[in-house]
Amino acid sequence: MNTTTGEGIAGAVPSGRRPRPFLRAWLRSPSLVVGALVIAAVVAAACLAPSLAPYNPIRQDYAAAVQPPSAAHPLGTDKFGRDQLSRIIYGTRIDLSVGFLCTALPLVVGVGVGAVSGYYGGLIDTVLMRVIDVQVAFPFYVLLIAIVAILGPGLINMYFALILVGWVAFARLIRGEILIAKQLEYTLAARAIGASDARVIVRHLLPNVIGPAVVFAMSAVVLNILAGASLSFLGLGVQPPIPEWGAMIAESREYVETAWWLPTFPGIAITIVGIAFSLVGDGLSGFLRRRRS
Amino acid sequence: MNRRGYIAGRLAQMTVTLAVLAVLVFYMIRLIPGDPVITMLGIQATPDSVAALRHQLGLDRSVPVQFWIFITGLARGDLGNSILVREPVMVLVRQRLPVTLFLVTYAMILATIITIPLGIAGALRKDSAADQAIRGFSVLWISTPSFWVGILMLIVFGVWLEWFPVGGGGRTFAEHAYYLFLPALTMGLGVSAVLIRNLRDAILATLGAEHVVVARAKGLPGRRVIVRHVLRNAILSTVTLLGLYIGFLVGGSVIIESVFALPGMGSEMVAAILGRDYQVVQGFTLVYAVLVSVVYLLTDIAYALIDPRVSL
Repeated sequence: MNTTTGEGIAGAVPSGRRPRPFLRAWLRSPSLVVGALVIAAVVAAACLAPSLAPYNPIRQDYAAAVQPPSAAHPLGTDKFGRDQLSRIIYGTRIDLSVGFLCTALPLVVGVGVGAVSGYYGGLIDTVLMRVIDVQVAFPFYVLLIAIVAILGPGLINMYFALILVGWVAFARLIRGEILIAKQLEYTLAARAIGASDARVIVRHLLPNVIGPAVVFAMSAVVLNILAGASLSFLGLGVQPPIPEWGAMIAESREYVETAWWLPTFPGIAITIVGIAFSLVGDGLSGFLRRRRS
Repeated sequence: MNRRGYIAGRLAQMTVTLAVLAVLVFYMIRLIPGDPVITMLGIQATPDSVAALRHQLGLDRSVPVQFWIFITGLARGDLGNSILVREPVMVLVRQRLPVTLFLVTYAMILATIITIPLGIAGALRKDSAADQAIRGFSVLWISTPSFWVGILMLIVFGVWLEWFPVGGGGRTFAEHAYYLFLPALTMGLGVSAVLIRNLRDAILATLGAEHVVVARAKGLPGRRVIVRHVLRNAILSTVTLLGLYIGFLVGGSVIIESVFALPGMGSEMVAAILGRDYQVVQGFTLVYAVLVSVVYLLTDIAYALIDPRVSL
C-alpha cells in the first residue's frame, strides 16, 4: 500500500533532480507520513472553513446556549449558543497562522544572523552572544507576557512578540553549527578555489547545517501554537469574538463543572495539531541522522 | 585557581547581564505606545490626576534623572507602587514569591520522580511495548497545552472525584503540598516528557561504554552496574537539561497559577497587565529575570565545583 503510493508520486515527478531517494526515505518513515497527512488535512480545513463549517462561528443563538453534543451540533454549543465545531474549524486559521508565521520569519532572520555571526565572528558575534545572554535570563513566557504588556493585548501584538522572541534560538543553533562546519575540509576547499564569502555561506555551509534548524522549526511550531493559545487563554492574545482554541478554553472556564465539552474539544484540536508537527519533526530528525551516519 | 577564575568570570558576566536587564526593564514603561499615564488611567481621567500620577511615576523629569531614581530605588529594594492594590510592589513580591518558588520546586521534584524510573525502564527494555508507550506519552505531553491539562485535572480530580481543592494555596506546609499537588504535577509532567527521552538516550549511550563493560566483566550484579556505573554518568546530561528547563518552568508557572487561581506572582502579573498596572508588571518582570539568572549562575558554579573539566 505504502510502496505503491510512493512509486506513484515519485513516478509523477519529472526525473532530473533525483527526487526518488528523498521521497522514498520520506515515505518509509511512518511518523513523517502520518504527521504530514494530518497537517495537510488541517491546512485544508483552514482554507475551506467557510464551506466546511456548518454554522457561522460568531453568530449567537441564545435559544441554543450551552448544549451538549448532538446531531445538530456535533461538538455542542457555548454560552452564546455558538456552534463549537464551526468555531474549532475557523480556529485552525488563527492557530496555524501563529504556528507558521511565528516560526518562518524567525527561522529566516535567525539563520541569516547566526550564519553571519558564526562565519565572521568579531563584533556582530559578541553582540549576538550578549543578546542571547540577556534573553535567556527571561523565562520564555515572562518575556512574551512583558512584550504583550508593553504593546497591549491583541492578535497582531502577539505575533510580534513571538517573532521577536523566536529568532534568537535559530541564530544560536546555526551559529554553533557554522562554527564547526567552517573548519571542515569542504569549506577550506571552496575557499581555496577562490569562492566568495557569500558563496561559501550560501552554497556550501548552509545546505550542510540547515537540517537541525528545520528539525528544530517543527518543535518551534508546536511551541508557538501552544504559546499563542496560552496567551489567548490568559486574555493577552486573540480577543473575543474571534474563534481561537486557547481563548475558547478560557471562555469555557466558568462551565468546567457543568459543560465538559467546552474545554475538551478545543484542547484536543491543539493536541492533534501539536502531535502532527512533533511527528514530522521526529521523522525529519531520524532522516537527518541516517543521512549523516 | 582556574576554577576560581571561571567563577569570577561567570560573576562578572552575570553583573553585566543584570545591568542590561535593569536598563531594559526601566525602558519597559517608556516603550508603551502613547502616553502610559493616560493608558493607565483611561481617557476620562482629569488633568489633575494625570499630573499626579505622572509625578508619582517620575515621568515629569528628564530620562537620566528618572533612571537615577529607578536605580537608587532598586538598590533600596524599592520597585515602585501598585496602582490597583495600592501597595508597594516589593510587598506584593514578598507575599507572592514564596508560592511561586514552592510551586516550581515541587514541579521539579515531581518531574524527577516521574523521569528516573520511566527513563531507566525505557532504556533497559529498548523498543519494547513499554518503551513505545513511554515515547508515545512523551510526544503527547510535549504537544499538549499545559493550561488545558490543568483544567482537565481540575475537572477530573477536583470536581468529579473531589480528591483535591479547586483553588487556593493553603497555609501550612502540609496544606501547600496538598493544594499545589495538581498544578505541580501538571508542570512536572510537561518537563518530564522532555527529560525521560533525554535520560533514556543517555543511558543507552552509556550502556556500551568501556567502564560499564569492565564492571560487568568483574561480575558485579546487574542492578549495581545500572545504579552505580550507568545511571551516575547518564544522569549528568539530564540534570543539565533540568537546569535549562528551570526558566521554562518559572515561565510556565505564570499560566498554571492563573488556571488554578494560586496566589503566586504569575496570577498577579496577568491581573496587573489586564489592569494596566505597569509598575507591578515592571517589577515582577525584573524579579523573574533575576531569579532565573541567579539559578543559572548557581547551576554553573555547582558544575565548576563538581566537574573538574569545566575549569579547563
